[in-house]
Amino acid sequence: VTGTEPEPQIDLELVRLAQDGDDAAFGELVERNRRAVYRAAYAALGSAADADDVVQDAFVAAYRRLRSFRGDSSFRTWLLSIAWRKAMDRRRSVTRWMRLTVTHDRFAERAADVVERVPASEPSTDERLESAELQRHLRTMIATLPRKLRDVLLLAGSGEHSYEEIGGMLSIPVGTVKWRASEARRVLRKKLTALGYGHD
Amino acid sequence: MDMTDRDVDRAIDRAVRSMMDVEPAADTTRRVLASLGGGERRPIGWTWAAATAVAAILVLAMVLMRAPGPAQQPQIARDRTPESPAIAERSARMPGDVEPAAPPRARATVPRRAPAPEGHAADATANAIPPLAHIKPLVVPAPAARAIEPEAVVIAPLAAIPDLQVEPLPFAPEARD
Repeated sequence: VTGTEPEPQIDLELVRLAQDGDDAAFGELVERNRRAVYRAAYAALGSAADADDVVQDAFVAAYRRLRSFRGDSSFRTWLLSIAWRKAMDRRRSVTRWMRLTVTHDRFAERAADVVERVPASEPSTDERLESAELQRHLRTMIATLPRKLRDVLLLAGSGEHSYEEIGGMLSIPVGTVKWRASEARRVLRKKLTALGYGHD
Repeated sequence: MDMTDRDVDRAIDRAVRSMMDVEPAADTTRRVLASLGGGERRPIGWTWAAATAVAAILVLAMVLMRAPGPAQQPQIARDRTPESPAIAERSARMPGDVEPAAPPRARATVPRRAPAPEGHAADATANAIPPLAHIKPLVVPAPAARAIEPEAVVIAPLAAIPDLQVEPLPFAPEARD
């Protein structure tokens, strides 16, 4: 089995092989889904190191529960649910909280790095709209959104997860996912307007 | 800066994409497979195991060190026996009875504890309070002797008590039932 596109049938076949003890098939499942799991964990935690740990924990947990997977949902949705629970456990953990209180906010820290890579803009309209300053403001605003809104906005914007998958991950209806994404944008628009961007 | 909603949405999309432009470690699959075989254990597991073991040893050591001595338990029991005069007196007192005035304590003259045994001498010395520099002795004047001269007691004679006059009952006692 080759390819990295999320094809449920291929995943299902690999799951059957892995359930029969084929570790190579499980390795293929890891390879095909590791980016989606990693980005979900990163959206929740904002830390590359924490996301790496969650990826490993999630795949190990999935392997151990593989026999209980009945195929009611896709393997990917099932796996992402496990990963999200692991990420939430880590987000709530006391040790991580203590570590974050003595370091910077991870999203804000990374946001500053990315801003450095945004090319200097000339005063043409399009480039000015996405100037480094605007992007910096946006990153700060996104990092300070309420968690429920930020999670959905980042998951939806990661390019890895559909609304249905996000709903499955967070155990909420798809309608709620869409509302939260829309609400996150509304809050950001309002804040941008207050900063002088956009229009009233 | 004047921006349409569409411009703002585009800017938000771009910000989110750049925030989520992250890739997992290249050796993720290898590490996961190694974990499945038990060949690679993450350090955090060992850390927790070691911390738990150390905590267990400390708790065990504290429990062993704080084991009660043979004299402590009987001491408590003796204080609570009914033979203790204070407790016996409290037990005999009825609710609502007036608390009798406590007798004056003789702290200065009666030692509350027996002298410490030899083994405690070093501790007592270490915890001793340094003496005060100088205290002048109290000077109490000698009491003057006075003769007791009671006044003469005069007892007046009782007045005559008149005879009691009891009126007869209005009905016969056997008619009550």
